[in-house]
Amino acid sequence: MMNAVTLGSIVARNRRKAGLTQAELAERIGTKQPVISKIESGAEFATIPLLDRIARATGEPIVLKLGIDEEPTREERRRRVRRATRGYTFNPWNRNPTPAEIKTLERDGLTRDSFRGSQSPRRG
Amino acid sequence: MIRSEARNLLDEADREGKRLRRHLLAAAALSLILEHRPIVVGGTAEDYWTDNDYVPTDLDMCAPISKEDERRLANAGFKREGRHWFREGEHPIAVEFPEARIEGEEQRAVEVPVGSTTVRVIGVEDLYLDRIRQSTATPEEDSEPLAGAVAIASARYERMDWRYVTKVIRSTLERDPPLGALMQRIDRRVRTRVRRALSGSGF
Repeated sequence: MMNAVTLGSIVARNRRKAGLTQAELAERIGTKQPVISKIESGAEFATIPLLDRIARATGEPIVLKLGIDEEPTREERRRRVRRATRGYTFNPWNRNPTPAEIKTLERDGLTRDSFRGSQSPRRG
Repeated sequence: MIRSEARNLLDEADREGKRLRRHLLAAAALSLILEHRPIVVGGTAEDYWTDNDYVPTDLDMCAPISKEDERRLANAGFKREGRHWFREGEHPIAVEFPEARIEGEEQRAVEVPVGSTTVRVIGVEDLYLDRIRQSTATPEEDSEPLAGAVAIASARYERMDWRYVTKVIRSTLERDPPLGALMQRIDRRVRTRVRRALSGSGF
């Protein structure tokens, strides 16, 4: 489903392709930089007339596909998760596994030691 | 006696090195064995929806477990170990039935094809809400439930029914204001963080 985040990412990609800053794009279409920022982050849904102006200002047509489900590939999904979680490592040993769970983890080589060197979650 | 199809699925699960696939095979077998079809929840569901190597420690499923079910589980090679039903083998598996029913809407569960059958997995919105609910107990920025909520939302942002998520949180707010307010705050934080991360991805 086309949602504000998907649309915002298209606007951001086209703006960058045109070599424009958010402020420059805003000026070209007669609006303010925070409006572009909200559209690109998906906090606001741009209207069709505004999208038309953005497309003309960047020289890149915006194609809206409605009524179909477009999901990212598995690899893209993994990249997105890594970016959004800031590389968080899910460590099963932090969940105080029961003896039964420990047997399944160890049989798979997922020992406590194997998680020791993993990246710690970053705050923020 | 258990059905041969279920036995084959369990044998395949025992040989399967990948944890998610193994859990889904076992869930498929148990869907044929138990009186009521279970719904996969918890870490296995999170692993399924996020493709993020969550590493579930066990296979959590919601289903009412009767005495007859217990007999069938024992026939299928599962032994009771604490709160788990444990099946020994090349790749052992620990199964838990934490609740008889999921918290949420069963019709949102999806049918995941496994071999010649399917497994029911909790809907992505209800799993997300479960992680948000859990985050209220451990609201730190680096808590596992919060990271889980971020992972689910970022992996499946387009397909998630955000109006349903908002509706459930609003009804929690009416029923239990402190919990609802916390859920609302965490949900907003997660959505903002995910939107920021995804807006630069060009997907």
